Amino acid sequence: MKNLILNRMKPVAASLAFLAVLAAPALAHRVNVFAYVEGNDVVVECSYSRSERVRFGEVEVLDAATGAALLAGKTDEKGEFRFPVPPAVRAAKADLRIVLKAGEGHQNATEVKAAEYLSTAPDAAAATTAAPIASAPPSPPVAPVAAAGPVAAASAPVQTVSQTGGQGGAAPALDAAALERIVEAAVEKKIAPLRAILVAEKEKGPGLTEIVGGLGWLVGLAGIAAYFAAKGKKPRS
Amino acid sequence: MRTSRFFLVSALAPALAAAALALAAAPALAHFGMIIPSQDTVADKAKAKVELAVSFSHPMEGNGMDMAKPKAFGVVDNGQKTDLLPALKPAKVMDHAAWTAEYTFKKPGVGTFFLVPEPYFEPAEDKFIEHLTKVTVPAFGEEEGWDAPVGLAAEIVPLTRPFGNYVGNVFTGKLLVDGKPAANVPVEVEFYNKDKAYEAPNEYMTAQVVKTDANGVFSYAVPFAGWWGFAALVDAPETIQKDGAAKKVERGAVLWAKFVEPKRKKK
Repeated sequence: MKNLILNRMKPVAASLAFLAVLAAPALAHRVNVFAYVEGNDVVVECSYSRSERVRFGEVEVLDAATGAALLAGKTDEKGEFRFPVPPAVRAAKADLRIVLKAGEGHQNATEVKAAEYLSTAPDAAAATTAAPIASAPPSPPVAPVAAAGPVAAASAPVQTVSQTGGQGGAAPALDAAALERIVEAAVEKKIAPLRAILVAEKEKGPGLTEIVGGLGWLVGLAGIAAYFAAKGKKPRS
Repeated sequence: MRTSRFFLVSALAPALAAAALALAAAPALAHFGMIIPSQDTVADKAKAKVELAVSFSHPMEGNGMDMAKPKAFGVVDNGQKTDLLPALKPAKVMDHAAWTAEYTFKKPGVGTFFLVPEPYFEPAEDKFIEHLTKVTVPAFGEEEGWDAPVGLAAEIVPLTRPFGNYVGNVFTGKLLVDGKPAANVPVEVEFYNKDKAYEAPNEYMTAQVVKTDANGVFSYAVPFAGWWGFAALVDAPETIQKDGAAKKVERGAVLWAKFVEPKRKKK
């Protein structure tokens, strides 16, 4: 009985949901997301129009190549969300994909290419701001966790972190997760050019083999057609 | 002898035809101030630079006229005016002196480019022509502000969003002269016949003509894809002295808009 009701409810619920979408005031509203680099920060502007901003919209920042989530946050009253480029991202020279979820199925995305933030802030700036970034809640890519015990294999990365962190004093210990992130970033940096080559290959369009293969198909099909045409013409005894 | 005369005639025929065409095209119709941007909308940060071709031409026939350096050229976005006159560089449009400028959109906005030319003396009409021209380019999804007047002496204020239009859409605009709606004014509508891809079947087809109603409003349904210019033509209250005589000034309020075919799904 319960099931029956539920089943009957389903289309109603579906159509209600559909109506809700239709009835949303932002009927034909596109939601815009535009991001630009200002110093070491990426500024994301979210709006329905100049006078109607997306207030408290959810913004997700992903690695454009891997789709890995990097950080997330919400727009302020002016539809703005600002975040510093995480050092790991800067090191990997990753392109950023910024997705805005404004609610009611309003979603849009934009990209910030690595070249954009690399050109506006020197690496040195990243190094000096690395520590505050690491402590900021939305972007913890290389947050060193002091509580974790020293890991034997971690000694080398620990050194690099203390260097880039520039805090001096005792080298902070790393937990496994932080180490993993650092290694990932380093590997990503190394393979990024390879990935670019692969993508370029993919986008090149049909290669010689495909073209020759395609011609083969055409000739074959023409042959079959000719065969049937000839067969049809044969006088039958 | 006969053959040589035949040759003479056949050689002359195209020239005569051209002369006849020139005469047919001579009436006032079809002068247009033009601002044609290299892209009608800006979506990609990597391609945010817009090149603007500024000219005074016969857009349908594809004939240019030499254009002096404009009096004013700029862009208004959200009430903010940017002077682009220093950015203007000499260029050629339809083989005649024209101007070009570059403008890069850095943020979402709606840029209305405007042009105030030096009055052009047209001997055939014994008057000066001054076309105050506009074109609006939106960037990065923003679209608010396309209906704001720039404040020109004569101006078409669009009632149809002047970008993002399909072919077949009706374009509606309101003519303001000195800020007030102007009734009963002829509006010439012409297609920018780039590469001379089309040909007018007869001289009446070069420009299309509609008129503003009592409220200064006119409409036109756009029949095929490309850039379309709307030129509402009034007589300026002032005259300009030339050769010891006061010459009339035709003041045109011109607006350009692109109408686009939908993309079709590739199958």
